[in-house]
Amino acid sequence: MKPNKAKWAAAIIAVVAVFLLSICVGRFPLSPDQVLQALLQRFFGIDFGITPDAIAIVADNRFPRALAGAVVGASLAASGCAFQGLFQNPLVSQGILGVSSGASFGAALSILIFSTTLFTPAFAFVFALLAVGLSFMVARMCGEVTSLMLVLGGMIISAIFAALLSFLKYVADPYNQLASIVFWNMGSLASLESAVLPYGFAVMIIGLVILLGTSWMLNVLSMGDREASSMGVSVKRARLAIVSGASLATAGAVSIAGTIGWVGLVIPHIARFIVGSDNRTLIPFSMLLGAAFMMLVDILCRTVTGSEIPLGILTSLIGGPFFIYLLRRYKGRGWK
Amino acid sequence: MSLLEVNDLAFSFGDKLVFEHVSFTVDPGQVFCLVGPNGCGKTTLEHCVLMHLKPQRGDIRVNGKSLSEYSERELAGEVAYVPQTHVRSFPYRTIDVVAMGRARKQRFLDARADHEQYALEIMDQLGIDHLAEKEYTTLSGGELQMVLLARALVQESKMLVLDEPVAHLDVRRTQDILLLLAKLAKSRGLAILLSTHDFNHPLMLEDEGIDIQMGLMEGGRMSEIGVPTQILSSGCLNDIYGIESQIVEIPGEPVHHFLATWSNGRKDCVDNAKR
Repeated sequence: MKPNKAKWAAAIIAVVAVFLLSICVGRFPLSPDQVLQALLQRFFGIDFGITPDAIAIVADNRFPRALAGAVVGASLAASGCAFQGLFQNPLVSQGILGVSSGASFGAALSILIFSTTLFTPAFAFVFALLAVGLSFMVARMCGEVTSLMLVLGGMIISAIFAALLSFLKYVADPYNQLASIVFWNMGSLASLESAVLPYGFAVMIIGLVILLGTSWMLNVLSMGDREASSMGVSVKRARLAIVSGASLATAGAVSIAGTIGWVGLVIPHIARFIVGSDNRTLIPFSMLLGAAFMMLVDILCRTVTGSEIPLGILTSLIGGPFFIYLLRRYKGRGWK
Repeated sequence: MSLLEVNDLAFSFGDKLVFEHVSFTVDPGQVFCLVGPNGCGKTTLEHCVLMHLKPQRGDIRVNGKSLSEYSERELAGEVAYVPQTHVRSFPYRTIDVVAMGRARKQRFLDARADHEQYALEIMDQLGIDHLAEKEYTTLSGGELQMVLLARALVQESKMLVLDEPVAHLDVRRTQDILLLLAKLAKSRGLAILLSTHDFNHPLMLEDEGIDIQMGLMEGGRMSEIGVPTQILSSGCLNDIYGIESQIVEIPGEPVHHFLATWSNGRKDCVDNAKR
């Protein structure tokens, strides 16, 4: 029991530390006590003599950005984790049922229609969920909704939306719209729309709560459909609940931050190495790791060079080598 | 009242009829043992009782209520299942696997410690508490079978359905499990439906003084239902399996043993193969 508590403590401390760090670090560096004072001054009106500029940077820019990074990271990691457990497949990530390609298409469509990214989050969200719904329908049309049929349905729908996205890119104005589409697909926390942020948060949190609440079902489902049903779990309903939770969390994340690969694939594996395969601990632990990882990568994105680097590039560049190291060290522990 | 009533059941996979006109009952404290050649539908029948498969015709009642009126959660309170083969996916702790038998009582993330405590008690009763902290993917086949049985008992249902529960076990483990089932039927009044290929298993349960019925499935029907010694000594197996058989009583002990020998038909078969 004791080493487990240490792992949890370490993960929680990491999240808090990276959160503070990401508010302190930037082109206008601030010390941790300045950050706390700025937040207190802004939200509780206690005067510490912090300049309005510093308060604006902390409260309006870095704080929401760090929070968004944390929740987006947690959502992607938890969804990837749930899908890996549901399909009992280590190669699966949060995009398996077409969420990402649906969102990418929706985002591109909104950029093409409105020539601005104002409506992009809403479009991305709607098409992300539409893609999952279609994947489910394909699976149902072709027989019973088994895990295999769902994965196949997801592959088909992903491929269709990817083709449609290519078509939109092809007809887009290459100097303006195409650049926006490509940039959106690399993922970023730089251009958060404060108007949509609360909705994004709400959706992600609903998804995360569903994933936490159904984590025990994920364990039971991995015993096989028949055994699970004989233990009293309605397999169809459990699967629908888990897919809904993961899709809501991912759709929320993608709609405010764009498509960010790799996090939903690698973070669950790392969490599995550390705390084992019990989804009741694995899912919340993945959330913590995902949150810390995403905020850390975002810090690098905005500090390494003069201009911002898209998130998706760095998640893979950093995550890849780190994953190789962990694979060598743990030799695939957590899967059989 | 019988706990399980199966009435005029028929099942087919597409056009292929598996069985029809199958009727039997299982009372609390009673063991019903399904026997019959490979492919006769023993497993299919069990899956119908467990609501995994939907029979085309007939009626299954558990506690007087038709199976179609049960939700999975409700049925899990009446019937628990021990599969013949289990595919191990993730290296869970063994105690977590056993505690999954409490799934029907779970709502959100509640009462995890209580479930574990109860799982440990059952594992202790089965003498497998030393496995609790091990990863269940590292267990041997026999240990896994005990764990699956423990998981079913943790479910606290009134009936157990077991599909060839001792098929992979050595002679000692086999006896242990059968004696345990006899004890559960006797002391807890559990109704037990199990399938097996070894006729000595029902004989052993009968010798233990259990209220046991044996159902012989063959040619798409349940052709015989009765006490094991009676069916096994009637000679009806000889045609079905192409064997010659007899029941031997062990001198000085109240134990029956089933012996099968090769009949002429089998010798022809082997001769043909040699040629």
